[in-house]
This record gives sequence, structure tokens and C-alpha cells, in this order.
Amino acid sequence: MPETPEDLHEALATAVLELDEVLTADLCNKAVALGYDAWTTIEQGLIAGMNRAGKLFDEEEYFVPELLIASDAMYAGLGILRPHISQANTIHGRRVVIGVVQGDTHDIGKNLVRIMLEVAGFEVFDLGRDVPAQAFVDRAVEVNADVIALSTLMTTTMTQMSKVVSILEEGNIRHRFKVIVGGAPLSQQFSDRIGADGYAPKAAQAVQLAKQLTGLVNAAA
Amino acid sequence: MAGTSVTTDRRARLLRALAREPNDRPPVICTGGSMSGVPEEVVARSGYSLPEAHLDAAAMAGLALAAARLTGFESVGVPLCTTVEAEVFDVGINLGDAATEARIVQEPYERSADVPRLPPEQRLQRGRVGITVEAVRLLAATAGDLPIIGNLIGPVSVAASAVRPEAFFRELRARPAEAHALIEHVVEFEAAFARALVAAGADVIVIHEDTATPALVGPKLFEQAVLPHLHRLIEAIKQTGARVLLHMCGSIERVEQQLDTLRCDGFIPDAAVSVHAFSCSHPQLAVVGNISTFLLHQGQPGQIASLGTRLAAEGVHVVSPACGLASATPLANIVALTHALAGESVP
Repeated sequence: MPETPEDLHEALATAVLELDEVLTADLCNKAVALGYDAWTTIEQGLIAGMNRAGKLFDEEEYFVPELLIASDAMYAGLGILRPHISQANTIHGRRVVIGVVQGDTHDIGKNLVRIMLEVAGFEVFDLGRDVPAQAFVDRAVEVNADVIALSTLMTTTMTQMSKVVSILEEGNIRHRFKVIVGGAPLSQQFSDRIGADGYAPKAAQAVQLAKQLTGLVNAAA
Repeated sequence: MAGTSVTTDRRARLLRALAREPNDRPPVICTGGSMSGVPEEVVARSGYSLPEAHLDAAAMAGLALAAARLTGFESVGVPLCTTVEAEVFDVGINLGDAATEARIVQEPYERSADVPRLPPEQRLQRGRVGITVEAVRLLAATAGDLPIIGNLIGPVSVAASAVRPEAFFRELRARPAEAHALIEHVVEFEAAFARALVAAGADVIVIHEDTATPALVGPKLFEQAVLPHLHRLIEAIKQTGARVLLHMCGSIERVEQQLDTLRCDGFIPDAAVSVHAFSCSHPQLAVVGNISTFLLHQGQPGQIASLGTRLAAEGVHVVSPACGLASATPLANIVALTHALAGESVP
């Protein structure tokens, strides 16, 4: 077992990366027992491990099953550490409404993006799958979202995405939200054509895009 | 083509193409299943309606045949959706309408081991399997020289809809024995379904492995967990004498060599794949495709016609959409494609 907080964080990040949910939970319990700061343990251990898994995903070393199992480990650890977060930690508070567009129920990709957005500190409102265009807009207005993230796996339902943009335009509220799109059949060209604010081919790039569009990082960074 | 002695029978042309035999020209088809050639405009002019045609053999056959007549596609295919097998495994389905495809709304099981193991004959009695087989039988009597295509969703994709997909893909890696046992069970059913389709008159069976793609599960898991099951299903279908095509969405770059171990007659690649390069590296496979469905929907008739003739010049064996057609695809765009390939034989 690791001897210092730093060792424990590193062991925790490795456990998440190596998809070891049991070890992740053990290490989190140990961090609690030793009185290590819960927030730092989450950031330096769980989230660091998940980000490493996300990087391997983008590099096509990990695929969907690996990323899902890594996220199980991370959430198991979060469940243990969350009750021990001592003070209100400053998070940026940016909000994303996300979902799979109407006509499509393939939601694995959307769920991966949701996980990575949560890891990056976004408050995510997940509308699920087969979501009507109007429902995205209504929810985004209701929660005063910064970003509307639309996903589809199917060529047959890509057009639902332009419908969301149209509804925003018709309501004169297009400027209030950044619209980002993703999914296997999509491209930057498609995103430009329907007037979205951005497209990302992979989960981690979607997070980067959301950060850029909400002013959390410089676009050039 | 002048001076050619080959018959212009549309079934014979497709079978020659799938055997990579000399042909007067590539046929232009639309398989059905995940690639149904029934956009809204076609449905509206067909005299049939959706979702009703999903539920009645005569309407399913009638709509498939009307779609071929209206579009000029040189094949008829059923079913007209991707949900028949899932329904057989207790999956909740929304049959949609002409504008929105039939789709899965509720995966019933949390673990592979929870899926009841019923004999294939019993599963064949469930849902819309009988309607689909009967539709093929009706088409065999009415479709003349149009080749008849029966469509299956790939066994791993079916398993990943009986069990909640995320749970299933975790199992595939964490508890592979349970996941594999379910997929084997699905293969048994699908082999029986395919035999019934072929006995009813299907010339070609297309397997659409639309979820469990290499892009999603990765090349290693694809080789271990998807390929062996596809292999068994394809072998079973080949025994019936029918031709077998395989479609997978997304990139296949890292599993291309493994595809050669499958004994399918042809492959329908993603729109991004180069037909010429693919054909050169797989001399035993007919290449079917790969018209971008985005272009079919949003493009101009002229662009679509040129893509069709370009693919033919590049040596595609059969021209077909690369993936599912958007329901708003204009009929004029489809006709531009079929007309460019088939000339005046299209209405």
C-alpha cells in the first residue's frame, strides 16, 4: 500500500486506468481512513486516471468497453470520497445539456462524453436518447445552459441536429447557447453546414471544445 | 453495353456481380434492413403506410416492391427496419412512422445470463419474424426478376440490444463467457431465421453488424468476440446456397485482414472507404457501395449521379447506399443515381 498522499493518488490513477474497480475502492477507503483530503484525492487520483483512460481512448488503444469499465471504477471511488469533501470547492459552473437526437437510441457515445464532461467539472443535464429537438431547447432555456451537445450514431437522424439550430434561431435565442455535435457519421463540414458551433470526433476533444466555447480555455491553447 | 451476350435479368446481374464475374454494368441496389429504401416521399407515393407495413406481410412486400419500382433500385429487401430480431428478444420497440425509423426504446435485460434460452423454432414464432418470412414468400411470387434480399442485424448487435448495451460491452470484456453464450444463442436463432428467409425465396442475406463494430469495441475484442460469431452465422447461411453480404459502419482499417477469414460474398463498407483500394486488397470479396447517404439526402442529383458513375468506373461490383437513408431523402436524388447506372431501364 502507498505511503504518502502522492503515492496513493498515483496508485489510484493507475487503478482507474487499469480498470480495477476493487483496488480503486480499497484505495479510496484507505484515503478516507488516513484523513487525506477527499477533493485532492478525487482530482489527483480518480480524475487523473480517468483522463489517462480517455487519452488512450483517443489514441485508439482503449475502446468503448475499456472506457466504460474505467468510469465504473471512477464512480465507485467518487461514491466513497464525495461524502468527505470538506469545503465547497470552486468549480467553474458551466452547464451542458446533452442527449441523443430523436429517432436514435444509440447512447453509448453520448454517455462517454457526459462522463468526460463531468470529469472536467461541467454540470451536465442528460436528457437521454430519442430526444425531440424542442426538448433540448426547452431544457437549455430552463437551466440556462452554456452548451447544447447533440449526439447521433445514425445517418438517418443527423438532420434532427439542424432542427435544434433552427428552433433556436426562430426563437431568437441562438446567441445564448453554443451548439456542439458529435457521432460517428458526422464531420466538421456537416457541423458548419447546419450552423453548429463545433464538432468533435472523440470524447476528450468534445470536452476541449466545450471548454473553448465557454471561455474556460483559450481556443489557441 | 453493346455486343454483350449477358442477360439483363436483374437477379442474374446481381449474382454475377457478387461472384465478381464479368458484367454488363454494376447493378444498383438498396438492401433493406438498416438500409431501407423507403424515405417519406417513396412511402407517400407507394399506396402503403408506415408503421403499418412493418406489421403486415402483404404491406411489407407491397411497400418493398413499390419502392423498387419508384426508385429504380434493382433489388427488393425486407424487413424495412432494424428491430425484428431485437423484438424477438423482448426488446421494447417504437415502430415509428414514415418520418422516423422504427427503433429500440427499452432493452430488457441487465445481464447476458438473464436472457431466457428458447429453442430457435420457438423464437421464429415471435414478433414479426413470421411476417418478414411471409413477405419474402409474397415477393418471390410478385417481384419477377428482382433479386430478393433478406436482412439480419448482426448477432453481437442483437445481443447488445437484448442486454443494455453498456452493460453488455462491459460483460464482453469482464465476463466474456456469459456474453459469448448469449451471442451463440442469438446465432442459432438467426441461422434458423436466415434458413426460413432463404426457403421462402431470398437470394441474398445481408448481415448488418451495426453496433458491435471494430470502431466501437476495438480490433482485439472484435477479433475475439465478434468475428467468430459472424463466421458461424455466415457458414450457416452459406449452407443454404444464398449469397451473404456483410455491412459494418465506421472504420474497418485495423481489422481488414481478418475480414478475409469470413466466407461472405461481399462487403458494404462505410462511405469513407476507397472502393478501389478495398477491392484490390480483397480479391475474393465483391465490393458493394458506397454512396454517401448524406449526399443522397442533401446533395444535388447531378453530384449523386457522378458519384455513382465514378464508383462504377473505380470497379465497384454493386452500387448501393453506404448506410441508412434519411427519411427526408428526395426521390429525385435516388432516381438520379439509379438512372445514371441503369440508364433508360429506370422508370
